Amino acid sequence: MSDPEGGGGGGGGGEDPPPSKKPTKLTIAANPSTVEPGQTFSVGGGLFDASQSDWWNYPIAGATITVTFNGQTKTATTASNGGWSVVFTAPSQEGTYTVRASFAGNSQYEGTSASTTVRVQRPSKRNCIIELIYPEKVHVGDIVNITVILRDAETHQEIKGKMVTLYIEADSHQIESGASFTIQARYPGTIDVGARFEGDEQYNGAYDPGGLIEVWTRPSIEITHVGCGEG
Amino acid sequence: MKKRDLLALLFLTLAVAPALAQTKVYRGDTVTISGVVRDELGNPVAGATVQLLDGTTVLDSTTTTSDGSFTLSWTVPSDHPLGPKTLTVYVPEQPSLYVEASSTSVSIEVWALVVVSASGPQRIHRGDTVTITGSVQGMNSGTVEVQCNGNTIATGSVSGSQFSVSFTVPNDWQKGPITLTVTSPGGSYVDVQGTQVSTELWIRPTIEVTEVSGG
Repeated sequence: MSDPEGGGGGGGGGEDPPPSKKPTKLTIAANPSTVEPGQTFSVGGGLFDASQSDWWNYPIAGATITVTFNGQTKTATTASNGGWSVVFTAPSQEGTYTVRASFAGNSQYEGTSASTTVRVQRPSKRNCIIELIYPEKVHVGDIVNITVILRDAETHQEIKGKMVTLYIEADSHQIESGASFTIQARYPGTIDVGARFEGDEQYNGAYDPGGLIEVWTRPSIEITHVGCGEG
Repeated sequence: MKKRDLLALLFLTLAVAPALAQTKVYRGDTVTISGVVRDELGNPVAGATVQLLDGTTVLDSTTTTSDGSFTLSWTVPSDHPLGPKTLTVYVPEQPSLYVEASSTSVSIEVWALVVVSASGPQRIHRGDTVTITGSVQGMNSGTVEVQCNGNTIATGSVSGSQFSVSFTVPNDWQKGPITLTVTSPGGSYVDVQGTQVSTELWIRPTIEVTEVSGG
């Protein structure tokens, strides 16, 4: 392998050529590579003597590694196995950031650098489901309770305190999840109910088409007249 | 049974008794029953089927109007048993209207109306045997009575709706117009419409010659 710095100077200077430096190899990885804003993550790797055979990384210990991320600079010293590691905190701004590590080189080794990327993104919104609780069959005059419960789609934990739109026929009502809405069944027929959650920073919206509450009547028969005449 | 229990039973009976008094219906008459079907809030139920039932037999069927009202009718057969009868006004379950089954009862009394028609001689005399003949509508067998001033003076039997009653004119009857009432004692749940036969009691005077003298 030729020495790029020393090999080229062929001119007739009387000085001794500088002693040739060994090439180095720097590895880098971020863990985790995708983080939420404000979350800490580590960046680490190893520094090796690249003049050695490819199949065995000969570590370089005690070297200073300078790591830059989003305008911050941190340094680490390689351990006996060549390993190094620093910790950063992810910024609030979402995006893909480059983390660059560099070894400046010394009298023995050439400098080198390596980079990787870290993706900063907010946690994805969770899905939720709406549970509409209503009686399937009531009678005219009955007081009907309609309860809207919001649940985490995965954990089925009840989510309280979110505003949910409850649709009753053509009307819509804003109620808090977990609360009940009360109506009186006035006429025989059906009452169409449904509910919608618009979603917020934590949860995606959800919709429950609901269904029909059947309103039956047990009629009263009032006899107003019983009469007779010739047939 | 104790007296208190009897009182309780009386009140219970009153409590479940229908609001309307029993309606008297003659055989052959048509009973009409009108009413209104309402829901629990008192609103009329329109378009609902209403049936008049005798037990499980449907006597008539109709549909309520927009104001929930209905009229059912039934003609009492001429051979229907006499006495009290309970009819049922029934609203069957109607899923398309979200109407559940409901019923109420109507109490009626079936009566027979017996109409007597009779005729007799226009002129009678003391000692005559007078025969009143006639027919009875609504009664095939039984008895008829001939009354004068509230006293029964003769009875006879009805056979095949016909009758013939004879009596002897008493000697103490005064001359002049006489009204005879022909009626029947009837029976339970039988109304009798009697009739009157007008006649006149005439005198056939006897002429007693007390003296025949010469000139």
